[in-house]
Amino acid sequence: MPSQKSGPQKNRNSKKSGKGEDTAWINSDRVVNKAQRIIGSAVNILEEEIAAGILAAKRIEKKLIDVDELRGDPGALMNRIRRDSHELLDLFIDVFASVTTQMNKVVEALKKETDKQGDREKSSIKVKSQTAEVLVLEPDHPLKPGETISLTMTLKDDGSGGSEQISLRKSDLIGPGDQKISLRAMTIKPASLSIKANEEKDVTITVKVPGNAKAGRYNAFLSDSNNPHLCILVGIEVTK
Amino acid sequence: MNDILMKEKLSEYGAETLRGIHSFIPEKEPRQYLYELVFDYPNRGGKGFRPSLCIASCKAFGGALEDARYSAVALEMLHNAFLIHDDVEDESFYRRNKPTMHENTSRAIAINVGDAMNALSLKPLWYNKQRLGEKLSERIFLEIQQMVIDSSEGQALELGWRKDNRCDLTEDHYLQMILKKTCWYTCIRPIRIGAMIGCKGSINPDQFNRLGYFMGAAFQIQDDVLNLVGEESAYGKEIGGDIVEGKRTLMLIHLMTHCSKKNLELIRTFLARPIRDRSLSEARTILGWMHSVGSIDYAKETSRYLAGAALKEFYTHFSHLKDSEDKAFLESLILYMINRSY
Repeated sequence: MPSQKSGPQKNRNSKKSGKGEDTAWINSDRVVNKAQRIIGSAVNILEEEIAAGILAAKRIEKKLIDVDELRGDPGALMNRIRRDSHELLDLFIDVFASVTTQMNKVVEALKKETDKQGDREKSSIKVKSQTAEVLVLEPDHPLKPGETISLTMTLKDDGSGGSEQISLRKSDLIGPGDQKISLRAMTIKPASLSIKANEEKDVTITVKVPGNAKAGRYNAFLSDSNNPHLCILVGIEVTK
Repeated sequence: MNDILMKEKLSEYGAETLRGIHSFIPEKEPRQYLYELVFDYPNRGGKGFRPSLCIASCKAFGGALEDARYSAVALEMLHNAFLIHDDVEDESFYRRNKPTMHENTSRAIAINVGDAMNALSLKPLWYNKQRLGEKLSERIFLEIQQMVIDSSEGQALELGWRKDNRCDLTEDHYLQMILKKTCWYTCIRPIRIGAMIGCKGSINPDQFNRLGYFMGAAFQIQDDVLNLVGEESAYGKEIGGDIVEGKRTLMLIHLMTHCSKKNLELIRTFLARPIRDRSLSEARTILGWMHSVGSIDYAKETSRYLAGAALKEFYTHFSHLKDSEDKAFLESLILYMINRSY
């Protein structure tokens, strides 16, 4: 015999009592199905609206920015450098991002200079130079996303003073457009070292290209916090 | 956190934001026709929901109130500007227990005050640079800019439906309109901006879209239900006013898809007349039909489902954060919506 207090009886009562009945007996499957239907509709609508918004924004950007024209005009590129006094590193990144064309020309010119030297000296740099010394480090082949490369450079002390303390800092690897590879993809071993007079020490820079990296040329800037004249440019070419 | 503490928090953040709004209103002429009127709606004491969401999200993610202050002020000023224009567009008579601005002054003056508030709300965003840096400030500016566009699009849909007296709308139409008109600016953007500030820009704010959408939709549906079944003094607007205005609420859309053809035709005729020619007694008849086909219960149920989904999203994205008053406050807002009785 069904109990007087069972669910169906309560349901009948709730229909008669009309509004304000929040404690009616509920079929849990029905509730779940109804909830899933409304939430599913809401999610679909949200995703469609977001996609439509992104498409509209890209169309506007395409109309407003002629990328080829901008890249051909160094003056316009320089004008895009943003000044952010809170983060010096961001300033370096902005400089590289905005002067991509000039940087590539600098890299090409430096490559020609370093090509004149021997194989060993190609990846070495003096630590006590009074003028800016730029060493360009790059692998001899393009890299695929997911690939790891190690580059070794030799730091030389020319014996003109006492031992030198080197502390290397790195930037992000700046690529084409607004692409960049985080500096966390690059390790420097050792990042801090001491070089005695006339001593040479090797430093290995390892870059792990992220799996989702887009194709293009990426450049990073290493500097010594103790010697502003010491500059190392790490360049990699990522292919699809 | 219980409801009393939740309301105290809303009040605290609302008061803080109101102080901020006052500091951005110029003390100059014209006062009588502009700047005194700019004070009007903020001073009527809204819930402070949007700035509270922004500040609480910021603090839950480790930021400080001061970091989110200017963004909260901008959000609340924009909200009040929307209300002024909304009241003109809806031909509403009351707002927060007082006559609407255009009823007190004129439609033209009210529209102009709304325009000025929109412009004034940009200034706090400029000051964000001092505290948050240029990059994050720019991102917040773009969030706000897009928020205004979304709201305009949603309002355009609703106004267009009223103009064309659309009586064939579906629940999906409603969800789309409410997403644009209400959810982006009531919940989604405040939470996104707060989290971005709290994380100093290192978070992807897209993860909060669903949370804000479900919360905003639940909140709006409940608001619409209150307009029909709530107490006039507590609610602050004329009860049944939404039916008179022809606002396409979930209840009205549900009614129009479930009532008899005869009643649908009567509703169509009612809505085809100018607002001032529609009576409250006719609106009460339509309300009676809503009760009889279950439109009110359906809306309450839907709001509860959405609030439940919002709670799930909240736990997904906020559980890992350190327990704090502000995290508890956000949770309590959603639980309030789930447990609300009318």
